[in-house]
Amino acid sequence: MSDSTKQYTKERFEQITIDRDQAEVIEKPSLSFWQDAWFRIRKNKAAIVSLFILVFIIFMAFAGPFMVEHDPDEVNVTHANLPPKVPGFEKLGILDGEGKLGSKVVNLYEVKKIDEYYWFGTDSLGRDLFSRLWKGTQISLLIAFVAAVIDVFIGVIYGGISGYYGGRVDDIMQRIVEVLIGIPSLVIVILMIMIMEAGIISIILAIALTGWIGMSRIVRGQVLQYKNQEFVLASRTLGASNSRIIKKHLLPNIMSIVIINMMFTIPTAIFFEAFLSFIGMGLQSPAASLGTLINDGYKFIEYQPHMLFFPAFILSILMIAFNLIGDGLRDALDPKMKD
Amino acid sequence: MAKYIVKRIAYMFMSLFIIATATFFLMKMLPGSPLQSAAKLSPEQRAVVYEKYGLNDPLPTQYVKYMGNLLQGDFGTSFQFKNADVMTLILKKLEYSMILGTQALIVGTIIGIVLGMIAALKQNTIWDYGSTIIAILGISIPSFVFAVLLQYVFAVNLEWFDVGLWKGWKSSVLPSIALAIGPVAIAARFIRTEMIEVLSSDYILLAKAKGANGFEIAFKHALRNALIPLITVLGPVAAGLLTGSLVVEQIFAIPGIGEQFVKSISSNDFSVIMGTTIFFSVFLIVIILIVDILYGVIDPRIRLSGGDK
Amino acid sequence: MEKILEVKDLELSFDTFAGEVKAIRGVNFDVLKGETLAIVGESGSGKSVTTKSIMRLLPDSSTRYKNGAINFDGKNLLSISEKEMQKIRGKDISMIFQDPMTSLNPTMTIGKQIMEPLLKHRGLSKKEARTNAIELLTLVGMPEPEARMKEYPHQQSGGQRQRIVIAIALACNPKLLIADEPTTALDVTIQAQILELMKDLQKKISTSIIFITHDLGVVANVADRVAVMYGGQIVEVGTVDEIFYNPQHPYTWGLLSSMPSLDLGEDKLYAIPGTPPDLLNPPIGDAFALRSEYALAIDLEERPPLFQVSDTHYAATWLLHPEAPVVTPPPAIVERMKKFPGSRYYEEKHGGES
Repeated sequence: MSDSTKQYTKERFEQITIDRDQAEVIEKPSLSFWQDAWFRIRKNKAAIVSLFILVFIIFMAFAGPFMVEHDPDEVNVTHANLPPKVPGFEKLGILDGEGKLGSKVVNLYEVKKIDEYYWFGTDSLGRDLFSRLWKGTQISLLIAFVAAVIDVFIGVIYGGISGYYGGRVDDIMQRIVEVLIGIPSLVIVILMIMIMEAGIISIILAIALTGWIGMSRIVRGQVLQYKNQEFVLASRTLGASNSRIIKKHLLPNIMSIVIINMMFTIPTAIFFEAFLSFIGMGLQSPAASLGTLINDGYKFIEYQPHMLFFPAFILSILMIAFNLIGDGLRDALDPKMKD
Repeated sequence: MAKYIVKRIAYMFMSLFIIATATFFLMKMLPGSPLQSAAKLSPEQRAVVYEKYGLNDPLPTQYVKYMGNLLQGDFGTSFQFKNADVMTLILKKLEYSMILGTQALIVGTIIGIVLGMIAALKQNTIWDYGSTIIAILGISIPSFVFAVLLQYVFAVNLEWFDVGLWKGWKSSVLPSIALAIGPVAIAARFIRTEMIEVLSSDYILLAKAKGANGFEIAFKHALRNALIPLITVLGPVAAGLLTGSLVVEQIFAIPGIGEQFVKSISSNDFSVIMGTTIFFSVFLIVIILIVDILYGVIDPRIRLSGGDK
Repeated sequence: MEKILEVKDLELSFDTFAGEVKAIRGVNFDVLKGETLAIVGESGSGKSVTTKSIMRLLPDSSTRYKNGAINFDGKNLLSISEKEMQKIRGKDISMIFQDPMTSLNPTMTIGKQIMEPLLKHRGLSKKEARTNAIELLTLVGMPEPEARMKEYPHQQSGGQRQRIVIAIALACNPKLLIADEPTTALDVTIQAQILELMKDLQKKISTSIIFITHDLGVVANVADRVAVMYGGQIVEVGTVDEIFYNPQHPYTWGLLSSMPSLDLGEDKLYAIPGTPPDLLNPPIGDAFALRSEYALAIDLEERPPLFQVSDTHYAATWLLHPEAPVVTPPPAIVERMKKFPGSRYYEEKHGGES
C-alpha cells in the first residue's frame, strides 16, 4: 500500500502515549500588560531616542543654571549682546565670540575686553543666556506638567462621572461640554490671562481651564465602552460595589489612554505658554520661559540670531520628543494595534 | 438629518451666547481702563467721555444694551481708533487674514494629502520616513518659530522677500507658508493612517481579486474612502490657523485681524477685544458646524441612513 | 477528467516580528474541471493562505514563496508578472470572501462595483456592462436589480451583500471560483440560501469551485471532493464519501467526531484535545501526533508521506504503513465506516480490507 520504498523497522511503529501537558505547551511567555507595552515601545527607536533626549533636557533644566558661574537674572550692562563663546571651540572658528557690530563682523569679546566665557552669549541686559535658557526650560516644563496634571484630574473625574452614571447626569454634563467645546480655547486662554495677574499660576489656570474638555470626552467614551462589557457585568452580578468596579475594572483599562493623551497634552501646554509669552501675555521679566526667551530673541533677530536660536531649538526639540513618545506609547498601549 | 442640523444650530447659539456674556463680564472685570491715555482729562471731561461710551450706566443696563447691539451686528465703537466702528474695522482687516488663511489651508491640505498618500503607498520606504518626518516636524514646531525661521532665512539673509508689511501678494507668501505647515502635517498624518487602514480592508482585497491594478486601487477605491474622514479634522485645522495667524501676522507685520487682536489686547481696547473674540468664535463654530453637515452629505453611509447620531 | 489547477509542493512562509511562520509546508492538490473541492481545517491550518496564494493576494512585503508551483492554464502563477496576474484575477479566477459586510467598497455604488470587472476584462461598453450587471444581479436572485445598481452596500442586508459579491465574482465567467468561507459570517437560514444559490449557479455555468470552510456540514452539502488541512499540510484528500465514511487520518477522525450528529445518541460532544501547532517552530514528523491518541513512535521523528487508499483517496498518516499496528478508530467513526463498502468495518459483506 505504501508509496514509499524505504524500509522501516517494526519498533518504530509502536504506539506511544503522548503526555497531554506537552501538547498544550504555551509557546509565548506570559507578559503583564505593562511588560508587553514596554516590550513594544522598546522596538520604537524614535520613542526611545526621544525619551533619552527628554531626560537629558529635564536634567539640564535643573542642573544647567548651576553649570556656569553666571546667575540667570544677573544684569550686567557692560556685557550686553555678546555672541556665544565656548572654551575649546574658539580655535575651530565656531562659537568663538564673533558677531556683528553694525554691519561688520568682529570679535565682540576682544572689542569689549571681556575674559569670561558666555557659552550661549548674553542678552540685551547682559544676562547669561545659558543659565537663562535652562531656567526658562524649567519654568516651561513646570507649567506644562502642572497644567497637564490638572487637565487629567478634571477630565478623568468629569468624563468618568458622566460616562459611569449615564442617564440624566450624562445628558446634562454632555450638553455643557457641547456648549463649551464650541468656544475656541485660545480665546478663553487670552481672556483669562487678561483678567488675572500675569504669572505662572494664571498661565497654568488658563491652560488647564480649556484642556480638560478633550480629556473628559475621551474618558467618557472609554468608560461607556467598558462599563457594559461582560467582565464588568460579571463583576456586578457578583455583587461588586461601584467603587470596586471603578477601581478594579474601569481605571486600569482607561489608564493607558489617559497616559497617551497626557503625552499629547504636555506639548500643547508648552506650546500655549510659549505662544502667550510670545505675544507678550506670558511671564513678565525677569522671569524667563522658553516663550519669553524666544520673544526677546526675536527682537534682535537681525544682529543676534543666537538669542533666538537656542530657545527656539530647545522648544522644538521638546515638542518633537513629547509627540514621538506619545506616538510610541499609543502604538504600544493601544490594544487595537496588537497582532 | 434636518433634526440633527437644527439641534446643532441651537447649540451653536448657546455657545455664542455664553461666549458673548463671558467676554462682556470678563472685560468689565479687567484691571485698568481703556481710557488710560485720557488720564489727564479733568473730571468733567472724563464724565463726558464715560457718558459717550455708556460707561456710567449700571452693569445690567450696559449688558442688555451690548447684547441687543450684538444681535444687530453692531460690535460697538473702538476706544483707540477715534469713533471707528468695530465691525467695519474687523471687515477691513479681514481681507488680509482671509488671503493668508485660505492660501495656507488649500495649499497645505493638498500637499499634506499627497505626502500622506505617498507614505501609505510606499510604506516603510525612504518616502514614508521622509513624509513622516515632515509631519512630525510640522505638528511639533510652533508656527511662530517656523515663521521667525522663514523670515530670518528668506527675508533677512537671502533678501528674497521683504521683512514685513503688506505690499501685495508677494508679502503673503512667507506668512502663508508658515501657517501652512500645520495643515500639511495634520493632513499628511491623517491620510497616511486612513490610507493604511483602508488599504488593508477587505474591499481593497476584493478590488485586487477583481484584477484592479495599483493605480486603480489607490485612486478609484482607496483615496475616496480615506479622504472623507479628513473633513473631520478641518475644524482643528481652522482653529490652528487662527491661533497661528495671531503671531504670524504679528511677525510679518500683516495688517490682519490677528495683528489687530494682539494690538487691542496691549491697549486694553475693550470693544475691539470683545468684537474680535466673538468674531473668532462665530468663525470657528460655524466651521465646525459646516464640517459636520458636509461629512453627512459626502459619506453615503451617513447620508442615506439619516445621520442622527 | 481535465485538471484546471494543479498546486505542487507549495511551501510558503511569512516574515513576522517573532520570526518565520511556516504557514504552508508542502501542499499538493488538483482541481478538476467542473468539480467542487472543499478544503477543511481549523483556523490557522493554512486553508485561506493556500487559496490567497493561488490569487497571489498575500502581502508582497512579508510573504516568501519558498518552493513549489501553481499551474493554471499552462502557466505557473508563481512565476508570471504582477501585470499578467491582474489579467487573470477577476477574469479566469475569482474569489468570494468571508465577510460580506466588509468586502464591498462602502462609497461606491453596487452597479459600479459589478461593472468594474466587466469593463476591465471583457472590454464592454458602459451600456453593455450595465445590462450585463443587471443580468448578473438577477442571476444571483437579487430582487429589483435595476434599482440596486444605484444603491450603496450599507443599504443591503448581509445575505444580499454576499449575493452581490457572488455576482461580482461571476461577472467574467471564471474558470475557477474560490469561495473563502462564504457563509461563515451569515445567519444559518441565510447560509442555506447562499449555499443553494452556489450549487444552483455551478450547474448553470459549470465553473470549478474551491470551497474553503471549517464546517463539515457545509462540505457534505456542496463538495465533490474534500481536502483536510492541518498545520500547513494536507493530511487527507478524497471524495466526499471517502472522507465522511472511510476516513483514515486521526485528525479527520477527530474532526468528524466533533461534528454534532442526531442519529448517534451521545450526550457528550467530542473535542480534539490540545491546540494547533505553532508554525513558528513546526513539529518534526506528524504535526498532529502531539494531539493524537493514536500516535506512533515514528510520528515524532519523520513526516508521513501520502499513502494511497484508493484511486482518489490519500492520507498522510503512518497508520497506513504495512508495519503499523491496526488501531480501532473512535466508535463514531466505526459507525460511519460500517456504511462504506470497501472499509474494513463494512457490515453487509463483513470483510473490509485491513
